Amino acid sequence: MPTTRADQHRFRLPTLTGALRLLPWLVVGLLIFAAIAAPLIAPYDPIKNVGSPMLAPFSPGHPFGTDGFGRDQFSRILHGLGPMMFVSVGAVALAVAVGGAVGLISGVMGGWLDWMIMRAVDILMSFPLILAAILVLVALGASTFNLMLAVAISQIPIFARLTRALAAGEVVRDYVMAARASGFGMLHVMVSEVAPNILRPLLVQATSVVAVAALTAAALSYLGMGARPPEPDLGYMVKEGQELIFIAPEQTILPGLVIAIFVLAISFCGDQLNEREGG
Amino acid sequence: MNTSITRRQFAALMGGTTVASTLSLPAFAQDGKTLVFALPGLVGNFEPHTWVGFGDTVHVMDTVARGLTHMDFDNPLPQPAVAESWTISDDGTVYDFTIRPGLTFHDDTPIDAAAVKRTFDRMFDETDPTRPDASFAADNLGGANVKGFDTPDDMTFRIMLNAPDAAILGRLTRPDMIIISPTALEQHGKEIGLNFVSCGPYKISSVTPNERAVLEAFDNFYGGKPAIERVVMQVIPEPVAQMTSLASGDLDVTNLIPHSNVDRLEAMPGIRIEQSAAFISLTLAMNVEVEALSNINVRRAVSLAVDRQAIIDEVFFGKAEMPGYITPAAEQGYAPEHMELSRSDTEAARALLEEAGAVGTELTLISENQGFWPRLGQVVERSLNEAGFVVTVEYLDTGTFNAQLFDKTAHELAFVQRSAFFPDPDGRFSPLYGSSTSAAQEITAQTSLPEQAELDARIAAANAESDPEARGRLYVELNTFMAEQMMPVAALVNTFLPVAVSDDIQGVNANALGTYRTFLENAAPAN
Repeated sequence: MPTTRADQHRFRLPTLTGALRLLPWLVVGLLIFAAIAAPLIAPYDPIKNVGSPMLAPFSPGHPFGTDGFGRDQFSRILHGLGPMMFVSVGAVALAVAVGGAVGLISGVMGGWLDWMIMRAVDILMSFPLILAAILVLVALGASTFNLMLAVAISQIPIFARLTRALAAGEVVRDYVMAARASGFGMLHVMVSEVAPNILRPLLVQATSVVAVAALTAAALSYLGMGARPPEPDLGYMVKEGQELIFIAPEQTILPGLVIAIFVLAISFCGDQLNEREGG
Repeated sequence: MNTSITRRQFAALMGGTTVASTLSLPAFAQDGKTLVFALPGLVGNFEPHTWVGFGDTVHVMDTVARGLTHMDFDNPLPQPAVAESWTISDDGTVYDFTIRPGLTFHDDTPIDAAAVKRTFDRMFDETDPTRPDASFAADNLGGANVKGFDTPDDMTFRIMLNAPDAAILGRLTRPDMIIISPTALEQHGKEIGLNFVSCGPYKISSVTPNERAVLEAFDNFYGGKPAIERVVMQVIPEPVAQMTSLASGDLDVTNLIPHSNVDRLEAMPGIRIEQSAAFISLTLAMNVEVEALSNINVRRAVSLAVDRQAIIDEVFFGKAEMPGYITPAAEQGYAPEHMELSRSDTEAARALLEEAGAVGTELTLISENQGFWPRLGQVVERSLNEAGFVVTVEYLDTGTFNAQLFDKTAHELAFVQRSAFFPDPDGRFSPLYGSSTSAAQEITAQTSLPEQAELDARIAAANAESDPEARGRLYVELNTFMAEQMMPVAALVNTFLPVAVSDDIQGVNANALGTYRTFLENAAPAN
């Protein structure tokens, strides 16, 4: 499978063996379940003061204590999982769709169109990802949906370039030549011939990029560009808790830890998929 | 023995050395002569008439510059500074300041009446080639009310006014009213901010933008040479880094500590928290041109709905106090009965809303997205919604927030903070609620209220009153009038900046630091 320059320089996680290989999938599955079931399993409303003191310590009633407003921290973290996954998975899905379409056109059509699209992608990639996302959020305003859009836009060039490389490799193969010789149009060639054959490596790459998207989203939320307080948002909770690090370190450590666990687990999942693809 | 190191080890060593040299400051505990003070940032341009970096500029300016008068925050009235005394004409329109003899600027230029006049002429003379574009100092002195300046003799500087202004001695204590060396001004012109020379207790030794300013004690300061030889104003923007620097002895004084950490710091050995008077007032401005807020009963409901105790507890961790109305308890013009003007009563708020048929009124509140503002936004949103409003808070970066704040078509409710550069009651009213101000026109849009004309007349009358007692009474009445007849803002709480000081240091002016002023000339070794 062709690899990007970023792939070549990416930190390789240690390889899990045996039953341990299941662990990241279990963790991701558990977090997805918790995110979906949060309204059912969270013991308290994540936004309302539950009548407990501010910064209450861990207790059976509040397993993660309460935050600076007397809100149940466990409930807030559970409810914060959903936005994190919506932003990271949604952004990557959108980036794959848009970047994939652009890259497919570029790789299959070739010629001046390919040159122009790739130069445009070069320009987009010359912006640091986080800066591009900040610019988008400044223009659109802060919200969870706009955060997803911003992260997606920052990832589109990556998938455009990857798809273009994959499509360009496929377009010279016999089955594509045969389809073209049979009189099928370019749209048919792109959608019915090339796309199905590059989808698998693209999705493998997408899994890995979800981790990057989650970190980008957390960083932007930390900067106050995500969900509007008091909506629970893990990145913003890290920031909110930072001020309290000397008196209630769990306020920043717990949401940070959840982000780290999700990113690590999804990275391991991506690596395993990559290995299966022979990457 | 093999003493060679790899390139990677060398890079790590160099990196570590660089970090160490940046972080290890020669604080007082280390050398016994340097006080390290934390700055949030440092633009490095100290042009006093158009501040380009408000927070850091004021800290440095207060330490290296002085004006005719000085507000030490321990006395309620302005004290002599470059002027050793002054006289006021019977009609209150002519002020003659006698300059202290024998003073010089940091560049040894003698300070006389002509030197002082040079600075004030620069504020008002638009043809002055050294005057910066968009200078706002003239307005801060009194604007059109200032008739002119004169020098009756070598050591007397005269300010002539069109109408009496009892606050002018206080205005002269502002950081933008400091005296600039005429020699430096002629030499550097519009670049004076980068080559700043005045006559404060410390003089600038070196400035590294976004890093630090090193200041040396000035021998010829009017109050005598400061006891501590050197002040290093070090950029440490992160509160967590400030607290660790305090704990490690690398930082001596800061007023940037979050309120939430005060108790924790107080428990640390070698550090004390000096609590100042609550000069910083926080208000919720209501745009009266918004249809829902055009009804004074709805505005009263907003004020009643605010849970002020929750703000004190959850936002300021107990380090704030209940407000009166506009004037804080620490200033002239406050009366204890003003607390009733800002009481919190959710049921009363709901009753007023029901009476006005305004239950469910949707309002948008704009707030800054950093510091304590998001916490404040959450408490205010919650308490207003409990009373029957449907409030949404928009958290904005500082630039966007200010742009929307000063555009009455871009906000409905907004937070406004007011500190006291000098604790004169007029400073709370004229700049924010006088009809000529952009604040009254755009933030509350209260100039459209019929009561504004009477408010203007009351502000002018109170400020023209020279008898302190009578003046105080007028400001007490002014607070009551504005709350009962207009209510363009809801007072939230009054607070202060917690001041953390190393036990090695004494004499730090906490009241000034608690409201963004920085007077370090009386700081001295603790023993």
